[in-house]
Amino acid sequence: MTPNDPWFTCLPSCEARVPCGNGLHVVRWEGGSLVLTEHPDAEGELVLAALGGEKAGCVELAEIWGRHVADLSVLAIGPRGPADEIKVSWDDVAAGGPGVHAGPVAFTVSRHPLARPALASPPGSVPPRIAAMRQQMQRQAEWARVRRNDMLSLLALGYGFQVRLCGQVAAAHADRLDDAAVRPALIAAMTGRLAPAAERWLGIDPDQVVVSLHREATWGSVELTGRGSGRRLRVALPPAWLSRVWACGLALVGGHLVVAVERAGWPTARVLGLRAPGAEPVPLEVHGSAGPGDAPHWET
Amino acid sequence: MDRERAETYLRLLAEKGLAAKDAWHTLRVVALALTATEALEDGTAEAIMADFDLAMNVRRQRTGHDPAAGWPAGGVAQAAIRAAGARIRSAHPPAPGQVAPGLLAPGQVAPGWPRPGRHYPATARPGPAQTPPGPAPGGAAGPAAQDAAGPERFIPVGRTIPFTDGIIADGVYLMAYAQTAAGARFTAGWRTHVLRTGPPYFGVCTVTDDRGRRYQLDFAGHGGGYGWGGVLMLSPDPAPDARWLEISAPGGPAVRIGLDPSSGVAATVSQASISAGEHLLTMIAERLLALAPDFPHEPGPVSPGLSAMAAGLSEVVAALEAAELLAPLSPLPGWLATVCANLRIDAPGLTAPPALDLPEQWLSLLAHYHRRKPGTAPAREGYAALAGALPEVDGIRLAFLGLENVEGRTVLHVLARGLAREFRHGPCGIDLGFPLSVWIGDGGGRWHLGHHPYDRHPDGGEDVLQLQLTPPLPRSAAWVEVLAAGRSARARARLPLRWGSL
Repeated sequence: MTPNDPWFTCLPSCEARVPCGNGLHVVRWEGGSLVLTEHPDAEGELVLAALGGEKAGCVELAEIWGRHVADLSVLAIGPRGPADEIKVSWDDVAAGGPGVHAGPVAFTVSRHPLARPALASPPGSVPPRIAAMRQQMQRQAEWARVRRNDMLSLLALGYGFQVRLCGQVAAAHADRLDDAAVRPALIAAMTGRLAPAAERWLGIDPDQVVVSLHREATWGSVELTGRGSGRRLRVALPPAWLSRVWACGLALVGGHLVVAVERAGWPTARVLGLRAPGAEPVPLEVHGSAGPGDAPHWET
Repeated sequence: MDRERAETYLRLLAEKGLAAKDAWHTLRVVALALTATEALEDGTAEAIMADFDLAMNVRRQRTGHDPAAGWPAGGVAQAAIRAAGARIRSAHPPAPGQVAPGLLAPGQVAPGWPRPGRHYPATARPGPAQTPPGPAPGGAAGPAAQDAAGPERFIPVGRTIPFTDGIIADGVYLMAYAQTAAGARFTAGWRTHVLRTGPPYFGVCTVTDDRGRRYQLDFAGHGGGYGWGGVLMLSPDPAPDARWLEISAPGGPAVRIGLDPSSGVAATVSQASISAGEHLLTMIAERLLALAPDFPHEPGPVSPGLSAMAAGLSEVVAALEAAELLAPLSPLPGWLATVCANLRIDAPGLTAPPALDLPEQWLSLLAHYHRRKPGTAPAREGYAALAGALPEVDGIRLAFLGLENVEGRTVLHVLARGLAREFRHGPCGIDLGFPLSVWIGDGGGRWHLGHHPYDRHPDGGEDVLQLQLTPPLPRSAAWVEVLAAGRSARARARLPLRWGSL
């Protein structure tokens, strides 16, 4: 199923207030785009900033958003559902994050972990290799700091923006099934979001949910196999499920696991829902209303 | 190897870990295992861990790690654990009269340590046929070792240079002489009358050869307490045909050291072919075997310290299997489970069936742990002349250059060529920069594990290592069998020992 309508058609707009200058400005997500309501000429401001002027907080945020609309880390860090509460305040952003440690993570240790051996000759200056290594570590630390600040800024926008950014990232990679560099992250992102929904749907342990990426033009498959500890809910869905279904708050509606959107729209849409594993999905007319945290609430 | 499945496994583990309180350590161990086996690139693993770290932090949950410790906590953690082990040992001295052992199958729990049990013969596992001998380990290393500086020389020395400075007790004992493309050096050790004094300035020693050329000595090594050990580097390098060197300390007599290569002893090489996953599990198992003496008297049926070291092992095995680095019928998970059971390591999830056909060397060490009599006097102190090189194993060539029994430990001096330039820790604190198993057979059927105590230092493209032997080698040994095993081969040779008095 490859509908032509945009993935976000089932999502209403949402707003957040962000620090900008000496006050708070409204930033709006609408139709898949970020709108800076107080900066009608954001591009012009960017040019001025490039010439040495001060960059407005809203404009900086828009840049950050743009840097991460295809960043799979957003799926690894962002929310798995409305119950997955992520609390980041603008104060946290200013402070560098809640309890986040300050260096890049690294596997290689290039220095000797114990004391230097005793040498009769005096130590020389720092070898070029070590100096280059230090510089590289400093660059990595700076890169990690910027990246962490970016993520915290995006998360500080609140759940509505978080989930919409996740949808945008998922949509950016939905047709990259042939790319082995993308599939592991997509499988993990799908598993992390489908398993809680499956738990609410069937009462199954989330660890027993096995997700694979569905490649065909059909909706996919959902099967329950095994017993006891060997019980598995095996789900094969296209990665577009993340953006078109989950990000729009449609994963579970009226006791049905929604596997696809047939006709997108807000506040009314038609979806394909499963009543039980192994069954054929049935079309459902669903109606949305604004829920807490800018998450749509859908009912059949 | 399936890299995609490896990455997927780690990412799914991270997903699962978001709901756990202490998943960070397990995730890190698995990430280290997958990068160690090259199933996952460092950058990918680092990105996954960084995302997980931030994901946990923004959910305001405990990540189970000390953020201040950062990522590569191996060295620091090792030091802390060793210190803890030392404290535990001193706080819980062994009760006299406790005797031996039993080999436990996985799932069985040892009620105490040590405990009575049965005897296990050290039976060798059948291995692949041996190939013809490699280059001679003693003396000149053969045509392959020829270079512009002449043939390599590894010569047992066993001479003492008398010192009269009032600090060094009984002189400096020279264990072996090695001359390679990286230079010429003696391995040496000495005891001092004074606690924690520095090494003497060896530049005042007089060194000449049979042609009247003079040489300078410079020391690099380690000391602490009353003992020092390391290498005395010679500059310039002696000529390839130099027949002897005479060394004297100020006011002391000259001691002549012959440089004729000793008669070569044949080394044997047997081909091996184990997967990267099996190799990694072997290194982990031997790491645990080496660390066991640090945690011998923790109360209870489970060793908390060792169990902490082994945390995440079952996930490592699962990850290696997922990445197709470990065949479903591989004996390694069973061997590892058996080692864990016998070392009182709580390894939940390591459910491989019991394996009693452990490698001969592992059995020997486990049997030692089980039968060890608390309060046994440490091996008598002394140094032993020993020299010989093994053929390359996995691109690494080891030359053995002396043994010392000091302060209850046996240290094997090794010169290594071909090691990675960077230190790199793997899961459970293994040193990926030294990916070989080194075992020393003492001629009495017992094997001693040479483990790397993180004190190697580079010496012109080669590394001088001091491997600690567990258990210490008795001074009754007149020869040793050295064994180095890697993924592709196992090399072994028998080398005579000549113990010197201090």
